[in-house]
Amino acid sequence: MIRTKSIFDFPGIDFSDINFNLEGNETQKSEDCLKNPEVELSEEIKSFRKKNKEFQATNDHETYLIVCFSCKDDKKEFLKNVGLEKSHTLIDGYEMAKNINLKPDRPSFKLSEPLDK
Amino acid sequence: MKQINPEIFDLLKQQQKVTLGFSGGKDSLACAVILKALEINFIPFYFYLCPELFFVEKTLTTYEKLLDIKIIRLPHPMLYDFLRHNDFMPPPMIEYLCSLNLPKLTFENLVDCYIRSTGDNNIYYDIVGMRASESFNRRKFFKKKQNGIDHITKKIFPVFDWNKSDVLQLLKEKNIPLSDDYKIWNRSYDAMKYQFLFGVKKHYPEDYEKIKEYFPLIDLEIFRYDQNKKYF
Repeated sequence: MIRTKSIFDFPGIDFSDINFNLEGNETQKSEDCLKNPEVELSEEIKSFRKKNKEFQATNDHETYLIVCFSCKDDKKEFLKNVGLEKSHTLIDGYEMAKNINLKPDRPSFKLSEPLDK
Repeated sequence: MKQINPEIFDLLKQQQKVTLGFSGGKDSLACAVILKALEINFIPFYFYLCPELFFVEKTLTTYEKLLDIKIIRLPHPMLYDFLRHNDFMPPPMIEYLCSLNLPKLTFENLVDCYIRSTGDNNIYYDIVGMRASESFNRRKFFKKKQNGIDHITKKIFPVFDWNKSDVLQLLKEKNIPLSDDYKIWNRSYDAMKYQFLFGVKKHYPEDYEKIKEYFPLIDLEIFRYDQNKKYF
């Protein structure tokens, strides 16, 4: 499905160094977290605050476009028809979902019928 | 014919003026008919999701003539929400819309702005055509307002204890037809969802193009349904 749900202007969150390949680093991270969740959480908060401060120090705001595609063809079609500017960062929701095994290949429920008689 | 609750009747009779949310649906239409019959001065408001839709205008002008009223057209709070959330907007529009810093508005804000713009600083009771029998949520809502009056929010619900046939009977007796929306959707048009958009595209293609002017990627809403259908 192509749906531009929103363009988020996330002040204070810098996505540039987040690794979206969750099968890799994040799995290891979760295991560490299970061992000592409090330490892990406080480190996360510290790190977030630091990044937030750095971000607030700059006046730049980047625009992020999060789109969920139902297949690769949809993505190609979307990119062909919608010009992304340099300041836009595309976050591919379909790829993200696949990486965390959400099985995005088919919808989980049937939409109700249109109301036309 | 079903009568309105005596407490509501008494309260309405005390009002110098009231406002009415007029969606063009049967329940708000019934409220307008009741207010006319009671000779209560009221300002009906229609809140549009997309400006200047022909089929909406046709409905509104029909009822303006039939009821001898002037319906005030105001933007729906949801229209502001769509624009604030950049719904169905292509990336080039996003930056522009974000720069507008559109506010979050409520029905009350908009009605209040309009009334003040006419030089009137009073706050009036608002008439709402909601009924308890419409759904479980509505029933729950009216459990706390058993007489159909909310003095805190200044709302009166004249048909809160009516059922669908009571409303239809009133309209039939007063010779007020339902709008064309009922022929297409069996209810009044009130959302930017595929459930309505298929009908708009089929029956009012020019209006669909107008919706596209405001929401360039609205086709995706239809696409969403078509894609889902493939799997079931």
